Amino acid sequence: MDATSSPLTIAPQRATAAAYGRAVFAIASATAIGMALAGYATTAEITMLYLISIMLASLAVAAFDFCFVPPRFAFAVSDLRYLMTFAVMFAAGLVISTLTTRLRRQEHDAVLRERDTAALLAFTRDIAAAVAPRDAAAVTVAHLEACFSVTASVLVTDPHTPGALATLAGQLALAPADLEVVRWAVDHGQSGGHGTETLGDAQILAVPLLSGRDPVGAIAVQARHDPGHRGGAALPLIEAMARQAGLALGRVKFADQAREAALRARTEETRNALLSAVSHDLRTPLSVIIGAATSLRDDPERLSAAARRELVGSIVEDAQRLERVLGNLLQLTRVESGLVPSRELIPIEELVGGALTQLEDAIGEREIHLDLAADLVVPVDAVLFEQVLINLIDNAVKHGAPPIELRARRDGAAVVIEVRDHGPGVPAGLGQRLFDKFVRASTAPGAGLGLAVARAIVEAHGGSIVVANAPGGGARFSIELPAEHPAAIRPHIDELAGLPVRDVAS
Amino acid sequence: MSIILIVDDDLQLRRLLRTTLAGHGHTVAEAGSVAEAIAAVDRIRPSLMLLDLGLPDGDGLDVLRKLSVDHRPPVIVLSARGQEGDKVTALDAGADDYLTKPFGASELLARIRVALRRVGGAPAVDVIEVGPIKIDQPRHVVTVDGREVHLTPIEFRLLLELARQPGRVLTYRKLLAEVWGPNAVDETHYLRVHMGALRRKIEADPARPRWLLTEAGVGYRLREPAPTA
Repeated sequence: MDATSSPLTIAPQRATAAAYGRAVFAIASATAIGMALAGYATTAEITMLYLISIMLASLAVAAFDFCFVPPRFAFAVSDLRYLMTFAVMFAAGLVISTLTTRLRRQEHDAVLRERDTAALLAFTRDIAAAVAPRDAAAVTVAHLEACFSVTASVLVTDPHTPGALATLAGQLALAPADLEVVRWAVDHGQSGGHGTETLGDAQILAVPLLSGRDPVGAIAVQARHDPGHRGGAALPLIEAMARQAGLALGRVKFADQAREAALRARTEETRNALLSAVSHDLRTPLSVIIGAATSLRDDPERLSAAARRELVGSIVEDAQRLERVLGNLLQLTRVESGLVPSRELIPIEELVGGALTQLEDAIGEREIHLDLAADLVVPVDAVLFEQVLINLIDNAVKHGAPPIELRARRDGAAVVIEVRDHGPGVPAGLGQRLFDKFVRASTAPGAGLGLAVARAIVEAHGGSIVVANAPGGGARFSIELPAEHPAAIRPHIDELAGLPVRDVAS
Repeated sequence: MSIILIVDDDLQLRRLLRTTLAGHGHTVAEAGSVAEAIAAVDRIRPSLMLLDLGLPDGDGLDVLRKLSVDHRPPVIVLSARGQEGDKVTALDAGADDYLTKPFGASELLARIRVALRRVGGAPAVDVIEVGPIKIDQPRHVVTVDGREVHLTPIEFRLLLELARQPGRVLTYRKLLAEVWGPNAVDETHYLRVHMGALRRKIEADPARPRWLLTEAGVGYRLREPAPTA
């Protein structure tokens, strides 16, 4: 946009004082040159001078008559032949100057149209990128102020308060009378104020912003340098911009509403998921426990020894399932409510060993492959991080297939821990959503909390966890943790050498 | 026959414990508060106390603190998961062990067995055997499945502490005090590093320990071999 200095009024150029001045000057010049040549050239040749100077009409004819036609220095004409000359000169001058003026006007209009088109194009491009109402309004103000010598503001209606208008962008100070103009423009869906047929005496020009047929606000502009300037010719371009801005505002507003609706839906979804998890994952095991226990209480005689054992087994298993769900819910609440991990440097072997010991029964005979870098220590909260490993291994046991692989290594400034299984992998389209609360990969029992707990704990340690399908099948969970104080444990080992060891017999 | 005092304010849990323990030949007494617990200890001299940490008139730790060491029976603390700090505090205040609620009957009975054995006083034997691990104290020789392993003095001392009370959890603090002395009680790094080294010598797979178990956030425990029937 190079038209920064264009005045607000780009009116068609009618004969202005400057144009008259230029004509008079041209005629005066031609006259002066003619005077100088009077002794050497014929009058016919001097006539050409006037033709060349193009600025003609009656003034030129009059000047010629006055200065050169005998009797000289009088408007009287003694030779009738000169009357013919006058007529031809006049006619030719009139035709040429009319043609020239029209051509120039067309050329000027073309330049203006081109500039308007470029301005509108640039505006359209910029406003298309707006993602929020405020952006769209700011882009509109910026473009208006760049195109015209104006101060502009974008005002929008408030859907909750009819009649209220709020300035979304722009520095234009609006007096109550100006606001009335803006309100009129919004209410009638028409431009009003300065330079228009309605409220033409106003200081500002207001152009409504329409989204479809609904007015969503208005643009208010005020000429910056020349408050008296009429704003006629800029109006079409401003109105074109307003149409674009109105559409953009409507678009981003709908996007906003859609986002809000999506958020509401998600909150609702979480709540529903919690309710369904609580009702399903707590109630199902409870039903089993109550059912089995009452059977055992009420008619033990009818049950065979094998049936009794089975019922007791169900009670134990489902009670343990309940305990896991509750434990995870509790842990998640604790970590999410801002529990600060108390970090110590723990050998990875000890963490993994602790987790595997806890899971002894769940793992059973399943094959576990370990690949832990020697002497690797991790700065973590031992209790919390053991839980992360337990949940990941338990997840691999439940949803994956053996062998389960556990790897840990240093990678630059990070410690990378991976748990991989050889099961069906992450269902397509689930991806990292697997870490969301109540999201389950399969129908295996569980509330979909274990991985949410794992992620919450890892993130509380300043780390990250992702899941991907491993080449060759199965899911691979990768934890990346900052490996602070990498050398911290070394000095301690050296110090240990100097510590006295108490006598065994004490 | 041992008398076990159950200190818990939850009647259902008391009923469960009473039934289970009585079924295994123990005599059971009950208390529902700190005051009742202290009175009961004075009156019935139990051989073991199961102590819940949350009591209506105070903290279970108050019971530990108010009983003089001479009067105090072995104590197993009952606490919930995630209260590792409380467990450590209780153990360091004189409790013998802890059980995380909810717990199974077999685990409860095993812990009771371990704690009662301590009362009887482990015979001062020269050779301690726990599972495949055999510690010859006078000769400073340790064998695992008959194969001799070479331990540093610290590792030997660590293993011995744990093996003297198999099945009992020893806090970091306690192990550090026993092995390095009271000035080293906060240096858990020492312990972890040496524990790792000891595991590599004792365990077939140190990342899947069979004997030297980690109690995350609390301490270590040497697994008590399953009772041979």
